[in-house]
Amino acid sequence: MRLPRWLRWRTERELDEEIQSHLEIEIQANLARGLSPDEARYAALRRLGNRTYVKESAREGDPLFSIETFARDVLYGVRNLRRNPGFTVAAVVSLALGIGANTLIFSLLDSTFLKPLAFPDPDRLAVIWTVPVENPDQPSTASISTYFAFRDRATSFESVGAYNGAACGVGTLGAEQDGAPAERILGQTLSPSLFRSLGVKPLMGRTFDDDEDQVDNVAPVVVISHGMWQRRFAGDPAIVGKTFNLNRANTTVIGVMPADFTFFGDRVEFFLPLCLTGTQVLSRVGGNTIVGRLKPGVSTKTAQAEVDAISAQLAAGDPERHRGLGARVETLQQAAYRDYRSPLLILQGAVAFVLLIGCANVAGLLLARAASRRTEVAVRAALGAGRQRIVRQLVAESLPLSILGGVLGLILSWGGLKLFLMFAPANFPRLHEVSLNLRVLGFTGLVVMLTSVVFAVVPAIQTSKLDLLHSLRESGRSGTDGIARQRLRRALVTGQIALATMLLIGAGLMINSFIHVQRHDVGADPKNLLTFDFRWPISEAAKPAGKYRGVGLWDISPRPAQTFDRVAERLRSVPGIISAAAVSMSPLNSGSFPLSTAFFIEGRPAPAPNTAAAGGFQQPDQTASYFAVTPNFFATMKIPLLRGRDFNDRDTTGAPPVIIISQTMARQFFPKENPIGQRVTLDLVPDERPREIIAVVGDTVTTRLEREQAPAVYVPHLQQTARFTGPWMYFRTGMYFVLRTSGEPMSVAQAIKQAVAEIDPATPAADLRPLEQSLDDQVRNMRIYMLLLGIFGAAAVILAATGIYGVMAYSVAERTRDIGIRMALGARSSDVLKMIFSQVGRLIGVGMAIGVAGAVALTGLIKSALYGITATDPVTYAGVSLLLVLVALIACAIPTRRAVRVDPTIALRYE
Amino acid sequence: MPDPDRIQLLQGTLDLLVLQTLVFGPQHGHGIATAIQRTSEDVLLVDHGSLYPALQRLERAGLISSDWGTSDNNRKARFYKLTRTGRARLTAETGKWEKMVRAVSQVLKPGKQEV
Repeated sequence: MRLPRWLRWRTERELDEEIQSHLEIEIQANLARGLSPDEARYAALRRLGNRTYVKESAREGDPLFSIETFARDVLYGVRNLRRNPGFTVAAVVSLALGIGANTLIFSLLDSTFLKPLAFPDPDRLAVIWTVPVENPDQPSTASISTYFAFRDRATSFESVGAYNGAACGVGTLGAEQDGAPAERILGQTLSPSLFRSLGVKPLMGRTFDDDEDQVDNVAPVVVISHGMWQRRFAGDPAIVGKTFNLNRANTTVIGVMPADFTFFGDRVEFFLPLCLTGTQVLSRVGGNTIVGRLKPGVSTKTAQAEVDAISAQLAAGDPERHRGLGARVETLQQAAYRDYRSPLLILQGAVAFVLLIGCANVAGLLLARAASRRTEVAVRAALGAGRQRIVRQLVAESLPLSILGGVLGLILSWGGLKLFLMFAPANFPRLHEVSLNLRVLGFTGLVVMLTSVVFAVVPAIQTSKLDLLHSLRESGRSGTDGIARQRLRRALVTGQIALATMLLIGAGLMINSFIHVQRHDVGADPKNLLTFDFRWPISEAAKPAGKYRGVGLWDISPRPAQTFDRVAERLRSVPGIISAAAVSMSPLNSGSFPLSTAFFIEGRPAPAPNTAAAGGFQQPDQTASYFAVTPNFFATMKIPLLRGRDFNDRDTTGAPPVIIISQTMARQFFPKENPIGQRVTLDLVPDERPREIIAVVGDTVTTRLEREQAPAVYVPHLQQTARFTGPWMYFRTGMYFVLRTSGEPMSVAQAIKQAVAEIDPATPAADLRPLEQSLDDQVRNMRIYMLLLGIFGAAAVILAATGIYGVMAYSVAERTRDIGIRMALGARSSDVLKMIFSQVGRLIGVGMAIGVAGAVALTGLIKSALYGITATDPVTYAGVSLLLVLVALIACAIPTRRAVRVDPTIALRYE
Repeated sequence: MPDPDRIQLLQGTLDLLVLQTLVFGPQHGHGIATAIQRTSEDVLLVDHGSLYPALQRLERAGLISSDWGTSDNNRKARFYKLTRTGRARLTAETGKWEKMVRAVSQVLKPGKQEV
């Protein structure tokens, strides 16, 4: 059998045998010529030449030979590492920190952006966002009419579906006959076509038909999640066709989704059709996320061109609903995790910095070692090793270092990931799927290889410039030729300081901004406050009643509001509750865009309409956040009543309409006059009448991540109009209760649930939790972001400090003789100090200057994550610079102390 | 010790000579070197040190193949033989070589007359 050509190589032993037999034949021939045995032997050996060289050149280009050489070099590297444990530990730890951090962040990037979504052909899934034409980078959800247009006209898509946050998606399971109380569960409303777009099939039964999703006529059918099937129906195999009480209506289960279907988050337990009403269809308000499946071979670019054309047609044909609006196509994966994209990329950049700093450390250490190996390398070169061979050897020797660093790094990242999972916000995408999978390991392997090349190349540049004769003659003496190497090491340290400065300024800005957020006064006292959401189904509380300014108008039943008062009344008698009240939006937690309303002040001209608000609807440029509250709300929350009186039980439907305004509203609109007694008209619904201002209260935040204090108005919830607009009828069908407790808030939780069930057994007290907890949730993302940046910043500083220490220790050691001479000639310790510090000072100065300039250029990237400070916050910059100078000086202190203690006699003899 | 009567092989010619030597049948390394030396009437001296790298090169290129065998005086030795590709290459290279020799002597002849 003939071996393939690339396998036809010799082992070292085979070649050795062949040469041995050659020599013997030659010796035989020489003997035959009459030479003495010794002479015959020497002649044969002479004729052959350098046996090793012959063998090596014969095996050149032989794959096995290359592997062998490489393995030998690697082994040599391992021996070297074992001989220098101090060096090894410093280098491996430097690398492990960098590699570990990189692996950790990459595993997060992987689970969000690289790991394909769990749908068939996920690349073909795309989201169509609505965007303002003049600002296509602000995607928002689409209106129903936009959805219909794309569903019916876009030919780039196989199928176009939508889901929305419709209120009927928040479900209430009715109280069961067996005594199980009513329970709030989370659902999602989606079009029948969305299941087709996603390409998912139910585990049992079926998903919706198109005729079950008719406008104003939604079939009472539900598809339930695998989790709900197990939890609520104990995995009943005959569940399909059974009915249960959902949102106070009998709803038939038509299907069960498979266990791995988690498109909308793990907590979603049921799926309903879109629940569209005629007014919603007419509205230009968004709220619907359009998800389509592209036809095979159609790119998002082609689809984009098509939706652009359709958007233009819509804007021309139906300006009331579509003027100023465009569309943008984005893959589902990009769209799903868009909020995490830039923080994760920034973190990946940060860890790349840490790795670079670590590599610079190792390169510096290797350079120092290269100095002591100068002679060895020179001998190798003299014996005929080419430059390529020497560089290859250096790379091979650094490989065990990288691998050690990589393995330790993997262990670090594994631990880091465990920690991250513990502290991560629960809403972090695909949290339970984050893992060190093969892709991540591949990435780490790549990083390991890259680092080993990067830091082997630096000393290699140095060594390859080697002047052979010079080095051999110097042979171990520390003399003057360290200048080039010193310069390289200093450049490395300067780079380290620059990178560390940038990273630390980034981390500093985040930390500073987190402190700012923490200290920011929320305007109330969240301690010992408990909240829950009490909400009726929309179908029970509101009926469509026409249209107003492109938005639907709804008739609101007075019954829910009466129930709210009765619940509040009942709660006040629960032991442990000091006071109870309710508010229309989640207190201190209504997000960056709470319901806001335009208003007019009596006796003043109406403000000009704000035409800039093209994405929404035309609104006068004078708005305030709108809250409806029960009496006693301010006292319960401990929001200070600055002047005037609180609402009371007489401020009801029949009484003169009243309103309370916030301090910011008073300052902005009534700067020089007393607002009390003035009258304002809200522009929320056509039925609003002028309301008399009866009080001014302190400002509160709508989220702790608030950037700007907006004016706010409060109305008695019983004095709201009978008709209400558009999607906001949701705020009329339920209220958030706030309860001030005398002791630990959750200790009264059970009593509260019972009290609520006494008044209204069909409506549960949902999301019952301490207010402090929801406040804490608001900053969870920010906290972990800050923590990660802070940890990486700290790692960067430690590594950079090691680098500074290394270069200083080395340079002091190299200059011991120099220092000795100076001191022998009468220099004092202070002169030596001055000399050393001027050198370090320049290094630190240049490094930090580069770092600060880089930070100014780069921190713009995290601008959107900063609160209360700008990206060029002088305090942070100054603080970080000071910290770094301090760390650098400490890192210098030890070698410097050694320098000034140099005993001239010893130093002169030092070799 | 340089010998004025002996000529160092030109770069690349060793391969050609090895292939030519093997035309007469399989041979081991030492035998190839001896044959070249003998055939050239001791004018061409093969450097034993560069013979083995050349053999490896030729074998890797698939021009020759090798196997262990026994030499005339009963010694274990590796024998090389020409492959079909090697034979074809030898024909081509020999043609090229002869062409070059003719051309070089053509150029050198008139030069001598002018002197």
